[in-house]
Amino acid sequence: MELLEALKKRRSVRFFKDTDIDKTKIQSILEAATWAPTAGNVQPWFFVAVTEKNILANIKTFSPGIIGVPKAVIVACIDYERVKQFNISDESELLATIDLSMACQNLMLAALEYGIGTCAVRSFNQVAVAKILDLPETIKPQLLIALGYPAKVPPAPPKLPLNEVVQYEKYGGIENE
Amino acid sequence: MNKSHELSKDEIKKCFLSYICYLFSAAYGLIKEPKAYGPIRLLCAAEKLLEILKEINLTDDYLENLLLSINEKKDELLSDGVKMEKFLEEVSLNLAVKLKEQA
Repeated sequence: MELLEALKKRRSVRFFKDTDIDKTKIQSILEAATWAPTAGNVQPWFFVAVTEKNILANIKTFSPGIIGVPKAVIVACIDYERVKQFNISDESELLATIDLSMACQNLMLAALEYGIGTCAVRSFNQVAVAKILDLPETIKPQLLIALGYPAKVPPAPPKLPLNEVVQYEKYGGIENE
Repeated sequence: MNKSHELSKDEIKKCFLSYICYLFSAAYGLIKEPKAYGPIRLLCAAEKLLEILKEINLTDDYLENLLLSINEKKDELLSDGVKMEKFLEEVSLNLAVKLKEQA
Protein backbone atom coordinates (compact mmCIF):
# COMPACT_ATOMS: atom_id res chain seq x y z
CA MET A 1 0.00 0.00 0.00
CA GLU A 2 1.27 3.47 -0.83
CA LEU A 3 2.12 5.53 2.21
CA LEU A 4 -0.19 8.47 1.47
CA GLU A 5 -3.04 6.07 0.76
CA ALA A 6 -2.36 4.29 4.06
CA LEU A 7 -2.32 7.54 6.02
CA LYS A 8 -5.80 8.36 4.75
CA LYS A 9 -7.11 4.82 5.02
CA ARG A 10 -6.24 4.24 8.69
CA ARG A 11 -9.31 4.34 10.93
CA SER A 12 -9.84 3.69 14.63
CA VAL A 13 -11.20 0.15 14.41
CA ARG A 14 -13.13 -0.89 17.51
CA PHE A 15 -14.83 -4.10 16.42
CA PHE A 16 -12.73 -7.09 15.42
CA LYS A 17 -13.13 -10.52 13.85
CA ASP A 18 -12.37 -13.61 15.90
CA THR A 19 -9.23 -14.31 13.86
CA ASP A 20 -5.84 -14.71 15.46
CA ILE A 21 -2.94 -12.52 14.38
CA ASP A 22 0.21 -14.27 13.32
CA LYS A 23 3.01 -13.56 15.82
CA THR A 24 5.49 -12.78 13.05
CA LYS A 25 3.20 -9.95 11.94
CA ILE A 26 3.05 -8.58 15.47
CA GLN A 27 6.84 -8.75 15.61
CA SER A 28 7.12 -6.87 12.31
CA ILE A 29 4.62 -4.25 13.50
CA LEU A 30 6.61 -3.73 16.70
CA GLU A 31 9.83 -3.41 14.77
CA ALA A 32 8.22 -0.70 12.63
CA ALA A 33 7.36 1.17 15.83
CA THR A 34 10.98 1.25 16.89
CA TRP A 35 11.99 3.00 13.66
CA ALA A 36 10.14 6.16 14.69
CA PRO A 37 12.07 9.39 15.11
CA THR A 38 13.34 9.91 18.64
CA ALA A 39 15.11 12.88 20.17
CA GLY A 40 18.77 12.16 20.74
CA ASN A 41 18.12 8.54 19.76
CA VAL A 42 17.02 7.94 23.35
CA GLN A 43 14.20 5.55 22.31
CA PRO A 44 12.25 6.02 25.53
CA TRP A 45 9.57 3.51 24.56
CA PHE A 46 8.87 0.03 25.82
CA PHE A 47 6.18 -2.24 24.40
CA VAL A 48 4.39 -5.22 25.87
CA ALA A 49 2.57 -7.30 23.26
CA VAL A 50 -0.31 -9.22 24.80
CA THR A 51 -2.05 -12.04 22.96
CA GLU A 52 -2.72 -14.52 25.77
CA LYS A 53 -6.47 -14.79 26.28
CA ASN A 54 -6.62 -14.37 30.07
CA ILE A 55 -4.21 -11.44 30.18
CA LEU A 56 -6.10 -9.81 27.32
CA ALA A 57 -9.37 -10.24 29.21
CA ASN A 58 -7.87 -8.69 32.33
CA ILE A 59 -6.54 -5.72 30.40
CA LYS A 60 -9.92 -5.22 28.75
CA THR A 61 -11.62 -5.33 32.14
CA PHE A 62 -9.55 -2.34 33.25
CA SER A 63 -9.79 -0.50 29.93
CA PRO A 64 -13.13 1.20 29.33
CA GLY A 65 -11.75 2.60 26.07
CA ILE A 66 -11.49 -0.87 24.55
CA ILE A 67 -15.00 -1.33 23.22
CA GLY A 68 -14.78 -4.52 21.14
CA VAL A 69 -12.75 -7.67 21.65
CA PRO A 70 -9.25 -7.29 20.15
CA LYS A 71 -7.04 -10.29 19.41
CA ALA A 72 -3.97 -8.49 20.69
CA VAL A 73 -3.14 -5.40 22.67
CA ILE A 74 0.18 -3.64 22.51
CA VAL A 75 0.81 -1.73 25.70
CA ALA A 76 2.94 1.26 24.76
CA CYS A 77 4.98 2.42 27.73
CA ILE A 78 7.57 5.03 28.58
CA ASP A 79 10.73 3.75 30.20
CA TYR A 80 11.58 6.49 32.70
CA GLU A 81 15.08 5.16 33.27
CA ARG A 82 15.81 5.89 29.61
CA VAL A 83 13.96 9.22 29.80
CA LYS A 84 16.76 10.39 32.13
CA GLN A 85 19.08 10.25 29.13
CA PHE A 86 17.34 13.30 27.67
CA ASN A 87 19.26 15.07 30.40
CA ILE A 88 16.98 18.11 30.56
CA SER A 89 14.87 18.93 33.56
CA ASP A 90 11.46 20.11 32.39
CA GLU A 91 10.97 18.79 28.86
CA SER A 92 12.04 15.16 29.19
CA GLU A 93 8.58 13.76 29.73
CA LEU A 94 7.14 15.77 26.85
CA LEU A 95 9.91 14.54 24.54
CA ALA A 96 9.25 10.96 25.62
CA THR A 97 5.52 11.40 24.95
CA ILE A 98 6.19 12.86 21.50
CA ASP A 99 8.56 9.99 20.67
CA LEU A 100 6.13 7.35 21.89
CA SER A 101 3.30 8.94 19.90
CA MET A 102 5.32 8.81 16.70
CA ALA A 103 6.26 5.19 17.40
CA CYS A 104 2.59 4.31 17.88
CA GLN A 105 1.66 5.93 14.58
CA ASN A 106 4.34 3.80 12.88
CA LEU A 107 2.88 0.78 14.63
CA MET A 108 -0.67 1.48 13.46
CA LEU A 109 0.39 2.10 9.86
CA ALA A 110 2.46 -1.09 9.82
CA ALA A 111 -0.57 -3.00 11.09
CA LEU A 112 -2.66 -1.52 8.29
CA GLU A 113 -0.14 -2.87 5.78
CA TYR A 114 -1.12 -6.36 7.01
CA GLY A 115 -4.85 -5.57 6.93
CA ILE A 116 -4.93 -5.41 10.72
CA GLY A 117 -7.11 -2.77 12.32
CA THR A 118 -5.96 -0.75 15.31
CA CYS A 119 -7.37 1.62 17.87
CA ALA A 120 -5.24 3.79 20.14
CA VAL A 121 -6.77 3.81 23.60
CA ARG A 122 -5.86 6.16 26.40
CA SER A 123 -8.96 5.39 28.48
CA PHE A 124 -7.51 2.65 30.63
CA ASN A 125 -6.58 2.22 34.24
CA GLN A 126 -2.82 2.76 34.13
CA VAL A 127 -2.04 1.55 37.63
CA ALA A 128 -4.13 -1.60 37.22
CA VAL A 129 -2.67 -2.46 33.80
CA ALA A 130 0.87 -1.91 35.15
CA LYS A 131 0.06 -4.32 37.96
CA ILE A 132 -1.41 -6.96 35.64
CA LEU A 133 1.74 -6.85 33.49
CA ASP A 134 4.15 -6.80 36.47
CA LEU A 135 5.77 -3.67 35.09
CA PRO A 136 8.57 -2.21 37.17
CA GLU A 137 7.93 1.25 38.64
CA THR A 138 10.18 2.88 36.05
CA ILE A 139 8.06 1.67 33.12
CA LYS A 140 4.62 3.23 32.85
CA PRO A 141 1.91 2.31 30.33
CA GLN A 142 0.75 5.36 28.38
CA LEU A 143 -1.28 4.07 25.46
CA LEU A 144 -2.92 0.81 24.48
CA ILE A 145 -3.10 -0.20 20.84
CA ALA A 146 -5.91 -2.69 20.31
CA LEU A 147 -5.34 -4.91 17.27
CA GLY A 148 -7.44 -7.29 15.24
CA TYR A 149 -8.80 -7.95 11.79
CA PRO A 150 -11.61 -5.42 11.32
CA ALA A 151 -15.21 -6.56 11.65
CA LYS A 152 -16.37 -3.00 11.04
CA VAL A 153 -14.41 -0.13 9.62
CA PRO A 154 -15.91 3.23 10.51
CA PRO A 155 -16.21 5.91 7.83
CA ALA A 156 -13.60 8.62 7.70
CA PRO A 157 -14.46 11.47 10.06
CA PRO A 158 -14.69 14.96 8.55
CA LYS A 159 -11.42 16.82 8.52
CA LEU A 160 -11.03 20.56 8.85
CA PRO A 161 -10.23 22.25 5.54
CA LEU A 162 -6.49 22.51 5.03
CA ASN A 163 -6.60 26.30 5.00
CA GLU A 164 -8.00 26.29 8.55
CA VAL A 165 -5.07 24.35 9.92
CA VAL A 166 -2.25 25.32 7.58
CA GLN A 167 -0.77 28.61 6.54
CA TYR A 168 2.30 29.24 4.47
CA GLU A 169 5.31 31.28 5.49
CA LYS A 170 3.67 33.08 8.46
CA TYR A 171 0.45 33.30 10.45
CA GLY A 172 -2.12 35.06 8.32
CA GLY A 173 -0.36 33.96 5.17
CA ILE A 174 1.08 36.25 2.56
CA GLU A 175 -1.16 39.06 1.31
CA ASN A 176 -1.85 39.81 -2.36
CA GLU A 177 -0.62 36.48 -3.45
CA MET B 1 -26.42 -18.99 23.79
CA ASN B 2 -27.34 -19.15 27.43
CA LYS B 3 -24.93 -21.28 29.40
CA SER B 4 -25.92 -20.14 32.89
CA HIS B 5 -26.39 -23.60 34.31
CA GLU B 6 -22.73 -24.32 33.56
CA LEU B 7 -21.40 -21.44 35.63
CA SER B 8 -20.17 -22.19 39.11
CA LYS B 9 -20.61 -19.79 42.00
CA ASP B 10 -16.94 -18.83 41.71
CA GLU B 11 -17.34 -18.12 37.99
CA ILE B 12 -20.35 -15.94 38.70
CA LYS B 13 -18.38 -14.07 41.37
CA LYS B 14 -15.58 -13.57 38.83
CA CYS B 15 -18.06 -12.08 36.34
CA PHE B 16 -19.17 -9.54 38.91
CA LEU B 17 -15.62 -8.84 40.06
CA SER B 18 -14.69 -8.09 36.47
CA TYR B 19 -17.73 -5.82 36.23
CA ILE B 20 -16.70 -3.96 39.37
CA CYS B 21 -13.17 -3.55 37.95
CA TYR B 22 -14.71 -1.98 34.86
CA LEU B 23 -16.89 0.41 36.90
CA PHE B 24 -14.00 1.62 39.03
CA SER B 25 -11.72 2.02 36.02
CA ALA B 26 -14.40 4.00 34.18
CA ALA B 27 -15.00 6.23 37.22
CA TYR B 28 -11.26 6.77 37.69
CA GLY B 29 -10.71 7.63 34.04
CA LEU B 30 -13.73 9.91 33.76
CA ILE B 31 -12.27 12.33 36.30
CA LYS B 32 -9.98 13.62 33.55
CA GLU B 33 -11.81 12.54 30.41
CA PRO B 34 -14.20 14.52 28.20
CA LYS B 35 -17.77 14.86 29.45
CA ALA B 36 -19.10 13.01 26.39
CA TYR B 37 -17.33 9.84 27.52
CA GLY B 38 -19.64 9.54 30.55
CA PRO B 39 -22.74 8.30 28.69
CA ILE B 40 -20.58 5.94 26.62
CA ARG B 41 -19.06 4.37 29.72
CA LEU B 42 -22.46 3.96 31.37
CA LEU B 43 -23.97 2.47 28.22
CA CYS B 44 -21.09 -0.02 28.06
CA ALA B 45 -21.56 -0.75 31.77
CA ALA B 46 -25.27 -1.44 31.17
CA GLU B 47 -24.35 -3.71 28.27
CA LYS B 48 -21.87 -5.64 30.43
CA LEU B 49 -24.43 -6.04 33.19
CA LEU B 50 -27.03 -7.32 30.73
CA GLU B 51 -24.45 -9.79 29.41
CA ILE B 52 -23.80 -11.05 32.94
CA LEU B 53 -27.52 -11.40 33.63
CA LYS B 54 -27.83 -13.44 30.45
CA GLU B 55 -24.84 -15.53 31.44
CA ILE B 56 -26.33 -16.38 34.83
CA ASN B 57 -29.83 -16.93 33.47
CA LEU B 58 -31.44 -13.94 35.16
CA THR B 59 -32.54 -12.34 31.95
CA ASP B 60 -35.86 -12.27 30.11
CA ASP B 61 -37.04 -11.39 26.60
CA TYR B 62 -37.21 -7.70 27.43
CA LEU B 63 -33.64 -7.54 28.76
CA GLU B 64 -32.33 -9.74 25.95
CA ASN B 65 -33.88 -7.41 23.40
CA LEU B 66 -32.37 -4.45 25.18
CA LEU B 67 -28.95 -6.11 25.04
CA LEU B 68 -29.43 -6.89 21.35
CA SER B 69 -30.42 -3.32 20.70
CA ILE B 70 -27.28 -1.99 22.41
CA ASN B 71 -25.09 -4.50 20.54
CA GLU B 72 -26.58 -3.45 17.22
CA LYS B 73 -26.54 0.30 17.74
CA LYS B 74 -23.46 0.78 19.91
CA ASP B 75 -21.14 1.52 17.02
CA GLU B 76 -23.11 4.51 15.75
CA LEU B 77 -24.14 5.65 19.23
CA LEU B 78 -20.49 5.99 20.23
CA SER B 79 -19.80 8.44 17.46
CA ASP B 80 -23.07 10.38 17.40
CA GLY B 81 -24.09 12.25 20.54
CA VAL B 82 -27.52 13.16 19.17
CA LYS B 83 -28.37 9.53 18.39
CA MET B 84 -27.02 8.53 21.80
CA GLU B 85 -29.31 11.02 23.55
CA LYS B 86 -32.33 9.88 21.54
CA PHE B 87 -31.57 6.22 22.24
CA LEU B 88 -31.13 6.81 25.98
CA GLU B 89 -34.40 8.74 26.11
CA GLU B 90 -36.29 5.97 24.30
CA VAL B 91 -34.84 3.27 26.52
CA SER B 92 -35.59 5.33 29.64
CA LEU B 93 -39.24 5.70 28.63
CA ASN B 94 -39.41 2.01 27.85
CA LEU B 95 -37.87 1.09 31.18
CA ALA B 96 -40.34 3.32 33.01
CA VAL B 97 -43.24 1.49 31.33
CA LYS B 98 -41.64 -1.85 32.19
CA LEU B 99 -41.17 -0.86 35.82
CA LYS B 100 -44.78 0.36 36.08
CA GLU B 101 -45.99 -2.95 34.72
CA GLN B 102 -44.12 -4.76 37.46
CA ALA B 103 -45.54 -2.61 40.27
